[in-house]
Amino acid sequence: MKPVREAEPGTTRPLPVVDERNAPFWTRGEDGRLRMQRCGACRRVVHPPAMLCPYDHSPDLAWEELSGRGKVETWTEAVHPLLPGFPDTTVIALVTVEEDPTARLLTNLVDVEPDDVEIGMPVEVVFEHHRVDDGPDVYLPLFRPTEGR
Amino acid sequence: MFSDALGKVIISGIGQTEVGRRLGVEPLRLTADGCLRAIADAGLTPGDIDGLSTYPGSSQPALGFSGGSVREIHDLLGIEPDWVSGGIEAPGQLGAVVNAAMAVATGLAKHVLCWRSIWEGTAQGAGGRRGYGAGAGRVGGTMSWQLPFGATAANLAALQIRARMQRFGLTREQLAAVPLVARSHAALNPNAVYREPFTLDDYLNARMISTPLCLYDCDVPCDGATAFVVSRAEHATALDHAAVGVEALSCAHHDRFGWEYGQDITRISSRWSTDLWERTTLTPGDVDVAQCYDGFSIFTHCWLEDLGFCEVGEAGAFVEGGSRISLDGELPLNTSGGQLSGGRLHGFGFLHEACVQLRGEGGDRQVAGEPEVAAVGVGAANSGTTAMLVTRASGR
Repeated sequence: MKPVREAEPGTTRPLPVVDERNAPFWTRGEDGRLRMQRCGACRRVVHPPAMLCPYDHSPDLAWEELSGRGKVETWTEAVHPLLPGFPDTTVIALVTVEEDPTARLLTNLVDVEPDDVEIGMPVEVVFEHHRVDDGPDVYLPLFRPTEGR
Repeated sequence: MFSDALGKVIISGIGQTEVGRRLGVEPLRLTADGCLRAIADAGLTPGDIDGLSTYPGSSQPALGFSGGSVREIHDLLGIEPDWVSGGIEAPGQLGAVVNAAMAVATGLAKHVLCWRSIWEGTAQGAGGRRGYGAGAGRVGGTMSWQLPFGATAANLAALQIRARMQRFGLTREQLAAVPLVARSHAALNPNAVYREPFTLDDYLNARMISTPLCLYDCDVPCDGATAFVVSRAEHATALDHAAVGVEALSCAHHDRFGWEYGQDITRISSRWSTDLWERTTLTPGDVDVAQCYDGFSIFTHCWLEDLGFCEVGEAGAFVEGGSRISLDGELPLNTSGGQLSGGRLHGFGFLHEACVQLRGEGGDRQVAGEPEVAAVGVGAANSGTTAMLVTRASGR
């Protein structure tokens, strides 16, 4: 089953403005694949998406399908005040991606109790689908503990 | 002194308004009051001011973040300046003072008025207590990578604390030291917002904002204005108080500007080296009092390390128990109560307090022994930073 789900009933989130540069990151998760920019020259993962690779200035940046696996670098449970619309338990984390551990995503951890989160824990992407009326739907990349870890 | 240019510069006047959660004073009036106090303190009149410098200028990314732009003060006080500068893309809040010092050193102006005023207390009250990140529909720019995941400033600071706990063994007891000591200093500062002492137990049982960051780790939105006059050094003899000299500056911004995209999440204060000490013959041991930014308590840890008072990762042990950083300790820290208890004067409060201490005007919170050297570290990686060594100069 593809790692894509609908948002929890009753929850809403502020959604990002989608533009030409960031669209592959925000709008193409319907197939469950994590896409990030990667430099064709130095092979580093570049995030947020950029015009030139910040490491070697190569314009050869392409969107690549990654494994969707990573590790928790650090995490926090947001308690008060939670932004309106978020689930009662909201765990915010920095996740480093398997292909380039210097690239990190600010994200939420799901399917895990805060007490069970550990730094270094392996996680995998799961997209949360948000319907949008005036443009492409948004798929937010969240992370959950890797199955069978 | 390493820099001949900085030798031509003094901070001749300081001014601060009443500081409070909600003063109910129009922001521009607050700004003007702070400015007029600094001008009078410098022994000058508005007609003597020939330079204007502020942060963040007319840009206003959040409610009450800016209380008066260069143009507004230019008009309101009828200044006819030879040089002006205002804006948010600077080495942090004190970038306005750095710019002023450079303008005076290069002869572009003789007396530059610098100010930072803020009225977040009133603005956030009026906006239903909404602050940073509030009112988002679709979000663009930097926050588009944060708000969809519910992350605001406090959550990002919490991520940093957790990373430091894991890597450096930082404990909540150690983290408590900076806010506890700040409150004990605020108790001695009539202009501080929160003055009632609290205990380690109070800290450990305080409301969590974002684990493991609690209420006492967060600074306090407030209304208030702080201003300085930066003058040519020869003006020192005209003062009825000690002039404050600028010994050395470092405005390094080695890391990326984003909170979450820095090279090392444990280091949010933007610099990799303590190049401040390569620009002076003084050493960290010569510092009599330190004022380190505390938008969140963890930032102060970063600053103590970045200023070279301890090694990276050792700030928790350095401040543990609080005696070293108390008024009678070896390095009195944030002697006005900082922003944690004194109110978020957004950086300018730290330089103001450094001047107060060097001038011997601290009243009940005055550091004993006539301090001669103060270290000031202001800002964080998302805003830009300035490290500054200031000294008691001639005059009086």
